[in-house]
Amino acid sequence: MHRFANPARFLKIARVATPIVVLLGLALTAAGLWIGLFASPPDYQQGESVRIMYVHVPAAWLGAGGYLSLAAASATALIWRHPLATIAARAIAPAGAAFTAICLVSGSLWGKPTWGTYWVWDARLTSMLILLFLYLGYLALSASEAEKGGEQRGASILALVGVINLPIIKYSVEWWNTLHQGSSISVVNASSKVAPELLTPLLLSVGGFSFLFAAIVLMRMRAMLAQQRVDARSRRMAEVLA
Amino acid sequence: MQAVAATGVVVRADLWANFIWPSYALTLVGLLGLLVWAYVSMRSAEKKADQVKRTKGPGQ
Repeated sequence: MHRFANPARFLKIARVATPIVVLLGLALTAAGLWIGLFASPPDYQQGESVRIMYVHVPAAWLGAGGYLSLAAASATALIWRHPLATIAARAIAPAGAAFTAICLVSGSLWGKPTWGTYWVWDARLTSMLILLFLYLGYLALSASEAEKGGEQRGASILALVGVINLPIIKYSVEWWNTLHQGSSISVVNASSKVAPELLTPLLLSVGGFSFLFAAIVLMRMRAMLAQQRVDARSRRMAEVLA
Repeated sequence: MQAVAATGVVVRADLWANFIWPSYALTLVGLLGLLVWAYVSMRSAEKKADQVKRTKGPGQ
């Protein structure tokens, strides 16, 4: 793992991987959404509104999964003080926040035809909203620490503390009576209650969104590494001139 | 966009009535916007880094 954490080696791999990951993301997302919109049948209970699932569920998974990777990168940065881990965490945060926001907005639009309301202070909805606030808090704190030239320790600790929200999101539909339905797919047991006609476009969308998430993170990491090179050069120039 | 009511799969009116179009539009705008922002920021940062690398410092 440490072998790939070398910034020079990472850049070499990222330059090759970025266009492949972008193309895979766009192709799978287009296929998933197209089948979801025009070729999959409506749900026997929810009718046509089930099609919102093909954007809502992948966004929700990546919002929560993104936070887990943000926390893992932050832990790596705190324990091993690897600079690439801090950059990875800072690159994951805006993508994770955007996917969480997409999940909340699409969920709210799905709620209106299904529950008759855009929003309720339901355990699942509220814990997802808290996840968005955690992302925004991390972004604000890490930007402030980066401006001061700090080590991002405060932002990393915030990311780790926020992990407590992930099991709350996952089990909120079991621990409390919620309007939100229980989970239909179990990754651990590799089982699903969703009909194959609906599951295929859903899995395509999940794959496409995941590749797009990875593409955004790769590009942000490359941008931050390039900015670090510019800053280092500027500092050297200033020292020579002084 | 061709509505396919006869097959019972999807009709345009349903897509509007159930907020399906707004959900997809907002998602795609968000995703593509984020992708474009990440690409533009990466390109401009890497271009700047290349320029700085080529610039000779004092005494070079």
